[in-house]
Amino acid sequence: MTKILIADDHHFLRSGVAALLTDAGHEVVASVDSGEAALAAIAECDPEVVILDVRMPGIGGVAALERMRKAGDRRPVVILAAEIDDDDLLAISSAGANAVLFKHCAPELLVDAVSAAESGQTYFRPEVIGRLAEIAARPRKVSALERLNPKERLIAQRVARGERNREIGEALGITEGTVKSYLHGIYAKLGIENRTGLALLVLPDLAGEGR
Amino acid sequence: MFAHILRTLAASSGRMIATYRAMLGLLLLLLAMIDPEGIGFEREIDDIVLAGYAMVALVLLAISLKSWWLEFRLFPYAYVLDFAVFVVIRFVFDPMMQGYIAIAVGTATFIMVETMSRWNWQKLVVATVTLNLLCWASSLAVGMVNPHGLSVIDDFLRQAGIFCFVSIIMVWTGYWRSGLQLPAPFPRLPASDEMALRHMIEYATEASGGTVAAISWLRPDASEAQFASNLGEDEPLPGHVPPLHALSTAPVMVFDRARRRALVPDGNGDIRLRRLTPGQCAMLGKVGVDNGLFVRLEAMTGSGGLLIGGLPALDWSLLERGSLIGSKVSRGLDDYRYALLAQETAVISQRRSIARDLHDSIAQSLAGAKFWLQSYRNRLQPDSEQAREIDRMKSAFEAEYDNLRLMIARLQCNELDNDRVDLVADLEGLAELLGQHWRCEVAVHCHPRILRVPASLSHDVQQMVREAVSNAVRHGEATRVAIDAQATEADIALAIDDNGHGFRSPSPSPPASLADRANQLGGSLNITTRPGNTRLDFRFPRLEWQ
Repeated sequence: MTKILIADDHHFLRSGVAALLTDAGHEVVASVDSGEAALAAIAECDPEVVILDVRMPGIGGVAALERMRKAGDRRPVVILAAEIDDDDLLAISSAGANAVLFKHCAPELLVDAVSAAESGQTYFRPEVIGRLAEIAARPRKVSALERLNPKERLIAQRVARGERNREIGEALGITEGTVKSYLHGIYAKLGIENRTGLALLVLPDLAGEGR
Repeated sequence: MFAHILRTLAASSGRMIATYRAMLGLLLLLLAMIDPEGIGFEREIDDIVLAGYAMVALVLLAISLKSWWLEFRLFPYAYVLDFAVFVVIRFVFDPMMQGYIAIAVGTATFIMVETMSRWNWQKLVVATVTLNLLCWASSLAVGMVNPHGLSVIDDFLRQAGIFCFVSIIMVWTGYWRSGLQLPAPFPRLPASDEMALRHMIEYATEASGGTVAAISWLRPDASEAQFASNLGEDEPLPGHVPPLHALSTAPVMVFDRARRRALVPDGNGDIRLRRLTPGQCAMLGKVGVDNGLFVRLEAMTGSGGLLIGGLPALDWSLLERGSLIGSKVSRGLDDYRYALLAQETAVISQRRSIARDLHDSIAQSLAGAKFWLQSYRNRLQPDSEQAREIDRMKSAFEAEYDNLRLMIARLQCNELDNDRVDLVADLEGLAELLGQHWRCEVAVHCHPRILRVPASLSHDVQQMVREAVSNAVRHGEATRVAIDAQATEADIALAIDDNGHGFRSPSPSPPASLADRANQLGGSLNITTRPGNTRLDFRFPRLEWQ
């Protein structure tokens, strides 16, 4: 019987996972809904395997895993997520997660993943390994805003919010013509051709800033 | 220094009017002082009144330079004062003296300019009529007692004629100037690019007084220029007209194709005569506009050309009007793109938000249900009926979960319905993926080779192909699938053939999800099946998505 901690912000999913693992002969010693609560529960309950979701309120599963490893906690961690973006997947791999599993996979795979992690093995599905190899082969992704200088960044952000050149010029204390010339530079730098392209490129960064 | 003073004065109409008033006041004072009846300043009524007016005018000039607020507040009083001085000049001074006639005309002209600057041309008409009535009244009143020898009628006609002439010029100038102030062309966001161009055609014909117009517009991200016109039956077919901005390098041009004549601005404030080249004549002939106005359109979001024909008359003044129409149309098309961009970014943000909500609620619940079901399943005998029931439920949940993930992915993608994608390229990419996934041969044949459709339609078609291939392999054990897409003017026909063992019934009902999707797109689905060949025929009418 393996003592397990489950951290996921969705109660119904946590209870389903707990039922499955209990039936498989494991003991769920804690069931929490955030990364912070997971760290506290680890200290309190000392689980043998930790199951973490990636997106949770507060610090989330990736940061919780990184804090565990930074504190020298090497206990097995299984990441169970609905989706993982490339940056998170890279961070999970670097931090030394023992297993990565998606929620859309067959449920019985979770039991296998927990068993593998508990016995000190790694359990990465072929699609995860493939993605990691692909990410490793790619040059580091730099966000659109990161490639711009501060003034260009301000202009790009305003374009993405739907402001017009005149309004941008007035807000930044420059002429409409200067805004136009900045925009041409931005288009060339980002390899795009118009404002729609710029807005679409910058929107994810803006959403990230707003989080 | 002088240039600086001029710039300071010309910075506002209020200052310029105050300057004119001061100059008028000094001129009137000078005229009074060189009056042959008494050279120099004497304590006569005219010298005192005009010296007073000159002083007030200088004070008003100083105020206008110091305080725009006070200048505006004092403007109505100054205006009344100007009228009063005009009345004094006409009624109190000797109206038969040539100097006073000229200065009365000058004062009236100043008042008209003042009215035109401050108000609209209708107010100018009122002021002009008032000035003329005062002029006529003073001619009649003073002429009755005038000793200069001219008859009252002679004097009246002479002065009224001069005043009328000046008044007509000023009213016409005011009316022409008001015509240069065109309204913005987009009261509401048009439904499509084509509607925007058609709206611009209406706007340009109305603003110019023309009857026909054609416009071409090229966005930097578009492969070809869009064209629209209101030439009716004479409208050239799309693709048969080169982009209109290729007609001339001049920003604006008045042209007469039959005589091969053109007027263009030279960039230094002057106008040049030009001969139309044979190429220009040929292009104008293709569009079907023989004489009129050409305007180049340059904007942030694209460039193009505008042709306006059927104008009441051709002349050089159309160049200025054409420039103004061109800048309004360019700005209008920019405004349209900006508004569209704001709308698109709002839609994308909202779609991402919905995707996030779906992901955080329904997707998680479905995943949770899968784990629960597996847990129950593990407690049952593996080959019991209940276990099989749970397996079926699990399969259904998994299918729904996969569909939901696809829906979320679609919501998260940046393509909007007004984005066009190449369906052929999408199908070819999908065929390769499906072939690898299902380990079967998936071939694609399309005509034409490029088929641009809304991103949403491409997405739906791909979903149907996914499901059809999955059914063919899983249920029909097919090893080869052929996808054939044919586009006609009326519809897109999509046929999916497989070599599986087919349906049991020779006339089966189409799978519900495929039929639903086809219906949602306004299309239809027919199935023909026999052992070794099953064919799904989809039809999607263009009217539904174009």
